Amino acid sequence: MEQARRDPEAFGELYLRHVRSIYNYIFYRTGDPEEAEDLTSRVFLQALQHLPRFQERGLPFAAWLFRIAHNLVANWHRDRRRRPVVPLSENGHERAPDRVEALVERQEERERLLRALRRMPPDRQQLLILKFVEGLSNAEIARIIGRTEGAIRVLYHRTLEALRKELLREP
Amino acid sequence: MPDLAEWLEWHAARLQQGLRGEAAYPLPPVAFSPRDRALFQLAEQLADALRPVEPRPTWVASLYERLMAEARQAPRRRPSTPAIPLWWLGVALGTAAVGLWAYRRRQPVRSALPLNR
Repeated sequence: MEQARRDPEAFGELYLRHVRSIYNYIFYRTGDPEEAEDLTSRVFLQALQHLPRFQERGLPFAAWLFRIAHNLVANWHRDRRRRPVVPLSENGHERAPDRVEALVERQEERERLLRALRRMPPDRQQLLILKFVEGLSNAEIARIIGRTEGAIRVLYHRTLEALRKELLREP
Repeated sequence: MPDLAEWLEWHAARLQQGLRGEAAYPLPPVAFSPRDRALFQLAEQLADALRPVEPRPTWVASLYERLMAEARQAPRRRPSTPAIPLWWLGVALGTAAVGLWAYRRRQPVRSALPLNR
């Protein structure tokens, strides 16, 4: 981290280590690959710009990046509130289907679930993305979100309950 | 006996390991109420839906180049900071000026003493 402040190559290594995680986080929060690319670029440009001011103080670099991403996604949602929601497109992330009908049905189920997920409060979305996309432990998620491990466990339970209710509401 | 939040946590850890269905349950599914089982099933659906996606390699590479170009320019743009802060230099000069003024005020008095005697 110290080295990254002075050496561009060291920042490049940090970028390569975290770009996939940040892209995935933003992709699932926005549901749009193009926006995910744009916002991920902004996260790293902001991080680079503010790098001299970053002090570890127990907060890992990844947590700092996720906080920048969280703020940018929040602003993005605020700006787009007046515009219609873009359906999640995999944009080439999906393989060619074997059985088209079954796959379409599964894809629709998945999109319904992800739509409901994106209606959850940001911290709950973040928790599920970090848990299932990144495969992080509660201790790691707690450091990123800034809560205790116990609070994360309770939040996970409540999130599942809330998501179940949300899915029952949706036709 | 752990509460449901703990069982869900246990289940999530098994899902993270790639286990699915009954194999991921902390106890046989019949040990849970239908309402609880619905939460385990939802967690499994989430684990399947939230799979990692790969960003386009060309985009990753182009952003890398852009960041490196920005990083190389950044030190040149940053204004050089003096070793001693300017306000501290001001305090030092001010103290020196006041000291000199006080010294010079006392000088005529001292030199006048022998003349008066």
